[in-house]
Amino acid sequence: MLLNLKLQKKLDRTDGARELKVQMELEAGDFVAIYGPSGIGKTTLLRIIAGLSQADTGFLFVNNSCWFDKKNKISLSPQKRKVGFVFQDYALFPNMTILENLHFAKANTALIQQLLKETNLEGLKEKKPAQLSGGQQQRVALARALVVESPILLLDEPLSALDYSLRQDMQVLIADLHERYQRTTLMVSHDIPEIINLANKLLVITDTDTILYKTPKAYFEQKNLLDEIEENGIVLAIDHKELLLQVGQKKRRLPYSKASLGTVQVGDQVSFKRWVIPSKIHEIERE
Amino acid sequence: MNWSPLFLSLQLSFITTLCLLIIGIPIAAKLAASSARYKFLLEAIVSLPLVLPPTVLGFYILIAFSKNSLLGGFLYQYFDIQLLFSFEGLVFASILYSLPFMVQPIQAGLQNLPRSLSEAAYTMGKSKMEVLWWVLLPNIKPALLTGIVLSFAHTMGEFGVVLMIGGKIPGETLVASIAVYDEVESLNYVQANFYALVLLGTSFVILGMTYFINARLSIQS
Repeated sequence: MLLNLKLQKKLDRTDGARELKVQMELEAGDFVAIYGPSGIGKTTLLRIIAGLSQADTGFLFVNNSCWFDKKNKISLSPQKRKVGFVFQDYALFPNMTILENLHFAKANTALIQQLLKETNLEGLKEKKPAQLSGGQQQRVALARALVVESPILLLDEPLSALDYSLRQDMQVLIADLHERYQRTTLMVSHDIPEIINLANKLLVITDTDTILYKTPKAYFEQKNLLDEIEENGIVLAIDHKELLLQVGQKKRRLPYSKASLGTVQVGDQVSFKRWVIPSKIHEIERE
Repeated sequence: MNWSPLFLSLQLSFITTLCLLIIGIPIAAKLAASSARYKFLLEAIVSLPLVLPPTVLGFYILIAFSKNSLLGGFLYQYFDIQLLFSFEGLVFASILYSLPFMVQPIQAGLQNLPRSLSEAAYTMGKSKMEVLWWVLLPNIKPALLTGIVLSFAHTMGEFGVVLMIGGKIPGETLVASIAVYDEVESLNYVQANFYALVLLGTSFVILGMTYFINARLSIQS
């Protein structure tokens, strides 16, 4: 078990005080999405794990070493915990170039070069953050969090500021990086497709309780927030991030994570699952 | 023309500004980061010289550091330090008098930076000193420049405090602002005008350069 925590913290919100109570055990390489309404304490949970906020009671163990134990008055500083953290506003240092941002996180030149290549930032490494687009800044923030080389990666709504197509690209990148680096990841997200695409577990925080689901799909299907559709198609082409498929009469581009592609080749018949969000309004015609 | 008061003013402003940078940055950083209940007391103390008549500050320094006082007597007896009617005394008084002009812009600059910048650096294992030096200060250059320039210019124009504790000793405490007053009193308007013009020109050039550089910095960011 990599992460074992039981934490409690009183939250002061504008609509009254409530208590955040979380208990969970995570294995190395787990990718947990944290889902719940705004102001419920999702970001606070990440901050408590990073050591940026204090829990009122409970404990937090990572790799069997104690990071926080209220009873024994143990609380490691954020500097000693050293987690990878992608902030909602990215928190890139404006005075430093992209390379300096990564180097400041940890002077591991080999890893930095590798991450610059993987995140397609090599050509931008001498630029300052203000000269980059939102998607590029997001990739820098992700690379910088991975340079820290912590077993834990925390992502606070990392894709919320990006447009739809950039989100799709970033999801593929995050999935690939997760596959390669196997960091135990906790990601705050409101976006159901994003959660389905990336996470293998789901922590749902509500006003009354906090539950860890073994698969995100189970929760969303149970709540009628998701329908699963299975389709078949023939592979027409494969590029570095998408398959081009013939599905019935239509051609469809399908982004993939490298891990799931396996030995698929052009001409193969493949099946794939799609999840769709049921629409709230339906057009009904009498036949 | 006697240039000595002008050189003395420049020397006083330079040393005071340097000391204020060293003292003011930690105070501003502490105030910007603190959410303590009694923070307002320290803020009020730091800001007092903004509203206090300079003669009041000068008066209390005069009382506190006279040889007959507890503190002044102690310093004189054990360390042979006499702050009144000396250049060192002027530096000490100027530091107190210009403190808010250094602390306030830096504090405001630090408070305007997103908290996530320092938090991100903490999660990378960086100490508070490292974060201040490598992350926070480089990102508030306009505020630092404003603090430096205001402290420098304010010390150049200081009058009341210097008059109270300086004693107009040529080459030691007779700074340019006092020299203007002194020359007018002696009806020597030509010499007074010379000092006044140089002070006016210096102040205008310093402020003009500050606004110009700050405008350039804000375009860059």
